[in-house]
Amino acid sequence: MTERTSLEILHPGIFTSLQDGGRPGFAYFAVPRSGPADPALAERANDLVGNRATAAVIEFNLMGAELRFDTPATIALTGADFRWRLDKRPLERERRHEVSTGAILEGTYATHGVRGYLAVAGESTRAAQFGSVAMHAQIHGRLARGETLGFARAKARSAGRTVHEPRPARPVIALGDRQGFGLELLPGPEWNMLDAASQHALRTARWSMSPQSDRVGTRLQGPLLRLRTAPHPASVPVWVNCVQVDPSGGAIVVGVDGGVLGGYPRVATLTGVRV
Amino acid sequence: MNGSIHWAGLALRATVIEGVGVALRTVDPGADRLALPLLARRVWELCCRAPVQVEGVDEVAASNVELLVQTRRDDLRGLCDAIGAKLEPLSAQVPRRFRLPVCFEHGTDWDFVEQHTGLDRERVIGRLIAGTYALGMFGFLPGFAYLLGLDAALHCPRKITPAPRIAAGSVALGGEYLGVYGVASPAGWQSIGRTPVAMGSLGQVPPLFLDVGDTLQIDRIDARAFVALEDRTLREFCVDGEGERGP
Repeated sequence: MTERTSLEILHPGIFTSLQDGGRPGFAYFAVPRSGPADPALAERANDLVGNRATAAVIEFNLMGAELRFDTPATIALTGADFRWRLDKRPLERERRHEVSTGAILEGTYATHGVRGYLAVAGESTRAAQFGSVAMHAQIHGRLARGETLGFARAKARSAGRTVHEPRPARPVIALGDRQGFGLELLPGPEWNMLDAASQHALRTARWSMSPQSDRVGTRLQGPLLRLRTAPHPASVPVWVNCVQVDPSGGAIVVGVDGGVLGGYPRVATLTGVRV
Repeated sequence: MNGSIHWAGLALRATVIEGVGVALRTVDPGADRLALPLLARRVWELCCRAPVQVEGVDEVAASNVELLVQTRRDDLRGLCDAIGAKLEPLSAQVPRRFRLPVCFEHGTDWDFVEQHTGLDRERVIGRLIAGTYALGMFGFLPGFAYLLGLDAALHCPRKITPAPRIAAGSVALGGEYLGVYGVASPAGWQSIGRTPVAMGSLGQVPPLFLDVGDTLQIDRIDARAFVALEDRTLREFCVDGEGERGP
């Protein structure tokens, strides 16, 4: 026996998507990993409702959303403060809530961070591609007004179904979600293409997250970076958290929806470790 | 563990990328341009495809110039040896041949391409359709085709600021490559035309109807033919039958 939960997107916010463990292991075929931009927050939301760590959650960027539950549901919210309200009453983050049919959840602009997660107890009923229902920014876009999301939860005494847990992926940094912190930076294969001043700037300058950032890449705002030599024009593999320098001297950090090959010099890697 | 290693009889130079894994490039400048992508497929099969034979690899990715093994393992030498021990010499596979219909009227960056190459549109098209291209690698997004074999006179730099959106099927020039954008996406390459046929199917392995080494020639079509071919797939344009690879 399964219990089904359903909710409808009344207003989708700025960039709201469904994310699970993503598609690790398919980079060779140019399939980006996807998955939550901040896996720790997604995992905590899942944990609060009793889901497995990489079950599908709804990810909000910069702005919350308005959604209506068409069945009773067990939910939890983590991440930035979107001033969440359930039927007009403030709803606490970081704890589990039981909501009833017809309840409307609303969130506004994020403060204290840019991302947040809503976990609904159960497994997404969406069709999977490469074993994942994660929405890729350029392939699947974002959740739209009127879209319905379903979650199925096995009832307590049902026969246990084996759920495939994707292999744990390398940690993803969640840049810009916290303020004023240092990140460990490791030199990339083209580190020496940067001139000395740019190497110093990348290590020591204060960088912020540009508003042009998204799940594909985080554009860093700070000093312009200069290359000693012209980059080789061939495309080479890139990875999540790789720092690339574009022809205008800007630094871009490859995101979870980023491509797997790129033509810009790979000057560094951010490890997600705070220093 | 920076240094030289041999995989499947191929001499490679290994470079550690801290916190990421190992990058490998061919030592012999005369090595087959498809050597790394074909080798990478074997490595992917060993490390990423179930049942996994070599543990600890997160991703395998390759272009024609570099193969990257992403791993959380610290013993990179041990990992490379384990992979090398299981790799068999690469066997030559018979590439399939395709013909890709392209409407050049739908190109959106002709001004730049004419100015950069110093060739007028007809001359560029003449050189393009004289060429035979090979799928070098998958990359960028699923469904994107990186094609090798572009006439050096047609090499164009990528855009300084990428275009926010390019139509699915757009055919474009980027550095030494000819590319086909299987799905609509932002684009850093110079668009010179569009194919009406679907390049692949998301969710399949590979997500492109072409595989590494398959070759392709371009057939010039007009805007009317473009409309007539819009519900066709590249698979139907395989010269060697159905486009399904044999066992």
